[in-house]
Amino acid sequence: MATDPAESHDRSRQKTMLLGDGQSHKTVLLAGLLAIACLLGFLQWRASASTQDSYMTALHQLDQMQADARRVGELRRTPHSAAGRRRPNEELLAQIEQALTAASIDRGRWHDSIPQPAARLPKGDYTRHTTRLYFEDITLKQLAAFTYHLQSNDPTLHLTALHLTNRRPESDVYSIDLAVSYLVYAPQS
Amino acid sequence: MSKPPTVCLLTDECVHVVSYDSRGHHAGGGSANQQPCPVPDSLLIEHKPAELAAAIVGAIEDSGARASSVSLVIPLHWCFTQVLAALPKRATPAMLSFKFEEYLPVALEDLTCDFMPIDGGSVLAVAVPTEPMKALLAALSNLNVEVECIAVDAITGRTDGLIDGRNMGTAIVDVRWTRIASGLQDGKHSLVTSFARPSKGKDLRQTISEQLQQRGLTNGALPGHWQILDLDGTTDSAQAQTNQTPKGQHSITNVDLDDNTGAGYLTRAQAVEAIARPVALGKPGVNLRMGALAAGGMWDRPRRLATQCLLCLLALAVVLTAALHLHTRTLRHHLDAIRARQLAVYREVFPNADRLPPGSAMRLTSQRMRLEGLTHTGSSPVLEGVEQGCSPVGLLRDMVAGLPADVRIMLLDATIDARQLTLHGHTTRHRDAELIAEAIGRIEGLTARPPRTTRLKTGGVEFTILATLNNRKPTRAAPETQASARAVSRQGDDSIATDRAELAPGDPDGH
Repeated sequence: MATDPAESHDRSRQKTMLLGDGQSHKTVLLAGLLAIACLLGFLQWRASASTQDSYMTALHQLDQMQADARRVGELRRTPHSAAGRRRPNEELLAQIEQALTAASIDRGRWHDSIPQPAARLPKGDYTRHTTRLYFEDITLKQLAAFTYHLQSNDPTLHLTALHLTNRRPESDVYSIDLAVSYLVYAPQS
Repeated sequence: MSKPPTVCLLTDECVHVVSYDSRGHHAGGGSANQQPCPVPDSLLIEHKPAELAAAIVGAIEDSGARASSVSLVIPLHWCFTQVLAALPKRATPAMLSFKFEEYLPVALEDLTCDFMPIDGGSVLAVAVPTEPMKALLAALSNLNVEVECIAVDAITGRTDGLIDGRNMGTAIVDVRWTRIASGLQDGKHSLVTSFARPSKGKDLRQTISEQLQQRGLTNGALPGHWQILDLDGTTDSAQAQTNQTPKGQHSITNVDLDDNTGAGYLTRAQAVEAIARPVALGKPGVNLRMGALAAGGMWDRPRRLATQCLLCLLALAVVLTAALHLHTRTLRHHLDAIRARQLAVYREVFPNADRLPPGSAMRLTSQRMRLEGLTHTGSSPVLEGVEQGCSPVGLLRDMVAGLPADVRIMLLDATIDARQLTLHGHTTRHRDAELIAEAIGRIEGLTARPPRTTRLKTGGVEFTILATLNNRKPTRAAPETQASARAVSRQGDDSIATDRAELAPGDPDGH
């Protein structure tokens, strides 16, 4: 069918009137750009919020770290009264021998040593490791010297029990049962 | 779509606003309102759409039309025109545009075209520069005037029809420009053109004739009758003096055309009416409000508002995004500085650290808590009461130091632990046992019970003393023993004496 140019052009014009022209495309393009900009803005906002959180956390951590570092410095200058780990029994026995020697006590007076089971202190982060030492024919003077040297060499050692028995009333020597213990700092997680 | 009843006709120096009612009569019975207007000679140069739009809107307001939708009639010299002949039957607008492009001095993409069919298979192509026109439409739209139709004066005001078998031409005479349309009836020898109006003193008819001849039109091809639309008010008298034509009609056939065919002469008011009425009646001939210049229909205004809102939102989003980006960058710089300080602090505790490990703050806290645990400076109340307050040797020292000097004791058995102290021995009298218990009771943190005593057959008294420990202050046994240790020496078979000088301070061995 032949088409009149003016007629077909009128149809094109009517279509344009109804649907608009490139403005619609511009609006759609703007909407798309806005969507992209909003998406980018949202992502940027999330990144900014995350960075802000990190910044505040880091700031708080810095204060905490500075306080901890100062405290650590002070504590490092403070003598320890507990061990950081359970020490081997040989090490304790060596310290006892060392103290005996320092107190001029014959090693033959030291009869026995019996490690006791470790016990956790109630409501605490420590476990106590006790070794009972048995001596024969020790004077109180020697006992004082021995305990002095023992604790001087290792301040973490504590004397927790003492039992004196005078088996020979005619002399000034005693049979001594001495409980030596040390604490291990072992916090419960 | 019904045409708006208000027509704005742009002439060389004025804008005429004509309002019609629904029946095509002048609204209010008045004539066209005329306002001076800076109409440029071309849309391509010296085009000031804002000023022109303001003048048009001013004219509309002055006319009292209160129209928000008008038809705009632009002068022919703003347009490019060409009669396209010998077209195929199925010619589409695209084909017409392609053919029209051959005659255009500018790119077709920069123009908006419309085509008017002419009898005989020809088409009159009319084009207007898109962007300047769009700027004018936008400026009008900003002033709340929407243009529904863009017509061209020479085409709208043409006189169709044949007189004595020959076409009738139309000439619009304005202050600076003259526009001609002829031959639009049968398509033969069609001419639509404009040219500068001759200067004063030069015969208008002669000028028209020269222009026609420059375009290669012979006398025989030209219309025998012309209608002069005089948009310049001064032409009237000049023509009347020149032609002496009765009844206001001027024959310009003597400009080298056929003679005595006559011509119609319309005064300015009549000319405006002749141009505006067809537009108001919906017969503008061509309407350039199409293509790139098309109105958006009923959704145009909302869409424009939406577009403006989108633009604002887009700008806002871009600004916000940029601000957030800058904020984030600043924060990151600060964060880097803080982490550098954290590393410095961390190295105070762990000097060998080459970088800040994850959980560095927790590691420092853990280190602090560990050291507090190792030094008993943390929160360990149980430890202080139980472990450091009950050194048995220190307690023995305090007990020996507190014994009365004149009491003789033979210590047979002593048990000291964290909770109690038990003494078993011999002394000389019951009273002495009580003195011993009293002395023990005076020691801080000890509560002694009354002694249990038994008279021995061999003489003397056997005693047992029990004391309990409660809240004894922490003491370090060995160093304090060093300071005040008292040797306990046995003196004789049945007595214990304290010798405070036997162990000198600073030397527990007594050496």
